[in-house]
Amino acid sequence: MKRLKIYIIILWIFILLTGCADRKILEDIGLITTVGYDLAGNNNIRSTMVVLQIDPEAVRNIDVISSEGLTSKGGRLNANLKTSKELQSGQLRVALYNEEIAKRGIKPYVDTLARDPSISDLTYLAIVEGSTKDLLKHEYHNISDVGQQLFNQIEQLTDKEQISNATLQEVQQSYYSDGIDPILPILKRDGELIRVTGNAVMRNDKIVGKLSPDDSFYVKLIRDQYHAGSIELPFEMKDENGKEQKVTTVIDMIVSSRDLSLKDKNIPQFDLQLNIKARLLEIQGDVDLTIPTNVKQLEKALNNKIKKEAKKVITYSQERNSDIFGFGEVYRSSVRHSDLTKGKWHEKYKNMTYTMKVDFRLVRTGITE
Amino acid sequence: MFRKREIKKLLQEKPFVESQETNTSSDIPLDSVEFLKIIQQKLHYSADFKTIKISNLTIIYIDTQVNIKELNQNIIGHLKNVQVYTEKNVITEIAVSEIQKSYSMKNGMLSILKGSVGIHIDQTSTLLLINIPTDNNRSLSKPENESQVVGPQIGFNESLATNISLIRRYITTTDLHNERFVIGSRTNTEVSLLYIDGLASQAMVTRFKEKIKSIDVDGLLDSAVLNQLISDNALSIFPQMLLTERPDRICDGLLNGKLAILVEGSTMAILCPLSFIEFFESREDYNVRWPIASFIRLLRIIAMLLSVFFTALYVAALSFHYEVIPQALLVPLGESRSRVPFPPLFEALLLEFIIELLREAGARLPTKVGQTMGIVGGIVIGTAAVQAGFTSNILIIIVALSALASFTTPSYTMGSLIRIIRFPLLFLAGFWGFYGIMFGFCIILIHLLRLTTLESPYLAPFYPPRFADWLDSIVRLPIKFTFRRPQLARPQNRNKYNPDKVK
Repeated sequence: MKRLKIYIIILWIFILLTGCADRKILEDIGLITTVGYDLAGNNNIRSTMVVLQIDPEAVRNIDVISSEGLTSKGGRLNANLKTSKELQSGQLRVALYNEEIAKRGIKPYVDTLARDPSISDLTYLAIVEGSTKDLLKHEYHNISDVGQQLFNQIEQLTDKEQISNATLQEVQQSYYSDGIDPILPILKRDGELIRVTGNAVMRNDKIVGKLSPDDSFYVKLIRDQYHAGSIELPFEMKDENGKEQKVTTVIDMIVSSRDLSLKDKNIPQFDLQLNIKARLLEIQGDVDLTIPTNVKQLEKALNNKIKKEAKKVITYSQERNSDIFGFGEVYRSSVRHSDLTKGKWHEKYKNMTYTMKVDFRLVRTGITE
Repeated sequence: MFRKREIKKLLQEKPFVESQETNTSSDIPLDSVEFLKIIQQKLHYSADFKTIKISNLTIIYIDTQVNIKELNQNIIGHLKNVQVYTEKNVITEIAVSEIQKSYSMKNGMLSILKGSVGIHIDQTSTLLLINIPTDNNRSLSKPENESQVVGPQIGFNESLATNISLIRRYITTTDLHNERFVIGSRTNTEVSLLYIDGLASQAMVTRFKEKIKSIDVDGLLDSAVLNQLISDNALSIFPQMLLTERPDRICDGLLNGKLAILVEGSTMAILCPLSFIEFFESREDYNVRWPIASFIRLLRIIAMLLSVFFTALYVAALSFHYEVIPQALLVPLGESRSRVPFPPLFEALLLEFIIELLREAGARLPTKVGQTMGIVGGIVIGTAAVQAGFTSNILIIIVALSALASFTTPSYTMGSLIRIIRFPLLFLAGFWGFYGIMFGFCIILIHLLRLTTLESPYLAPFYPPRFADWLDSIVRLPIKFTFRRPQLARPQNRNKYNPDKVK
């Protein structure tokens, strides 16, 4: 009898609680796949949303809605006034921030995404040169779903290691840890295409500088410890006769790793060692790769080139006072009771010195003519 | 009625062995006229009850139960030669091996009902029983419900004697125990308990016998009913003993120290104890090479999970958790859903109901009409339902897939359980989403953990963890490694063979 009572109670709970679950039936909601934030007048934020239209009869799959509000969520509420379906951001894939907003700081807008459990931590974040509304609203000739296009483009480039991995989770992690600053890709509408123009150098949540895609390669080389993608490198080297000649190579990193250690905690000073194993994809110039000494020469030249360029990028970041490489992380883990904060580290980072060694090896030169 | 022990003793008697009962206790009347009168009264003047009188002999039988040809040739034909009808003369003259003497009216009647011919000699208080039952068995055929590609193609039929002989053909050892019981106060069904001495746990055998003896029902028509009567938890939806029509499966179990029960008139034998995972094993797994066997077993487990959870996951994702739907699926899913006027739960229930209808109709229809079901199912349900906007075509794929997956389970009882169990999960998914599915899964898991099969844990070898038995559970490793008998049945001898001598 006692058991029966329990069963009856469970059955009652089952019947009574069925109304408690918040039902969101797929075809009854407007799925926001991409959102962009711009500054509008009166301290307002203009949110532009790409909403997936699930209607077989509709001409276009997507609907782009813009609306203003004091906050990003307020913008969404206002946008809701313009649709027949309740807007939900659980399928959000890409969030875009206008450069002006990024100068003010993107933290509140990132934070609201992270706060919502239905939003994936793997949502990509990016900075847009110019207005995000223009980028999203533009009717491209060859792009039917701009949201899908953006997501695929960023994902593809991230997979191919051409831009840093700027997911919601990565950006938050960089933002909240004391010794590293976030880095976000910069997008721009280029006529009928969307182009990645480089990477945004951030200090905390504010944009302080820009790096070209080529420079971003060195950031990846030092920041991401394991793998960097391919790069085109023009440089000069001496040929057999000792004559300077221009050579351009495209190399693909097979393995790259960095060893970073703190030498002196007062200055602070670091030892940076880059180990790169790469293969040669293309070479423009008169170099006979069948001769081993030539390959050695090439390695040496590439070594110097990489060193030079990397130093340039680090100097740039020091000028802008943004530690996008994560030197601070090493500092924090090497110094006991450092009580590091963002502010303290940015003070130190300006004066940081380092010695750099590059160990570059061409593992494969491929079939040469 | 009779006491069971008495009948059991009687049934175990060998031919020509004097009954233990003494003359003094005999209740058979001396006078043949009076004897006949009592018998006829007991049988309520049954139309098929026949008597033949040869001088002072009264031959009684039920003509639908005895082999008339044998009766004429070997009994009446031989009795004609006898001058003086004494008991001794009659026994020596009759050319039938199974003759029994009875002093009890009740036992005599029971034998006659089962196909014996009774001979009463005037002025004696004994009844000679000659067993010549009609031979109306179906010939042996393929096990239709448990077919295999690699392996013997023979199944049990309805005769207990034939079924035991099938088992003895595989296991020829003196250690094979065969104990006879009688169950059912009206049907008096013979039941045989088989086990191998030296392998089967004595405690289990004793416990099992107690269970059988405690059964008090008036009729037992099939082993499936017996299975429900002796299960540890009769209310559970999960089968705790295997019903199989394959003699090789039974023999495999016996060799692992399990117990088998065969019931007269039933084509299915019971094998116990059996853990949950063993319902997904088939004898064929041992006949093919181990990587193939492991693959097939994994496939079955995945199919089972798919069948139980797939539709529920679809319903939950579409009603509550749109976030988890992959981006590539959003548009096709949404578009096919947008034509459907019902909520996902109702849509899924409708389609599951149609599939169950098709399945049940397919099982009941005669084979010739059965083929029409495919057409009806394929065209009417598959195409028309989608075009009419009744269901989405993605759901059709999901439901068909889970229906297909539920057929991969070798045990029919387990297969039908998988059919049923997805309905509560579907409701939970439709009302509570993933939380509901998790809740349902937990309830099932807790129930499985509490279940026992012949008082052995049902979820063994996973809980309690018995790592040695894992080698032959969801995967099957080569024969060299699976030399130990599963611990589930507590076999007296754990090693099947010496692994060093097996490659």
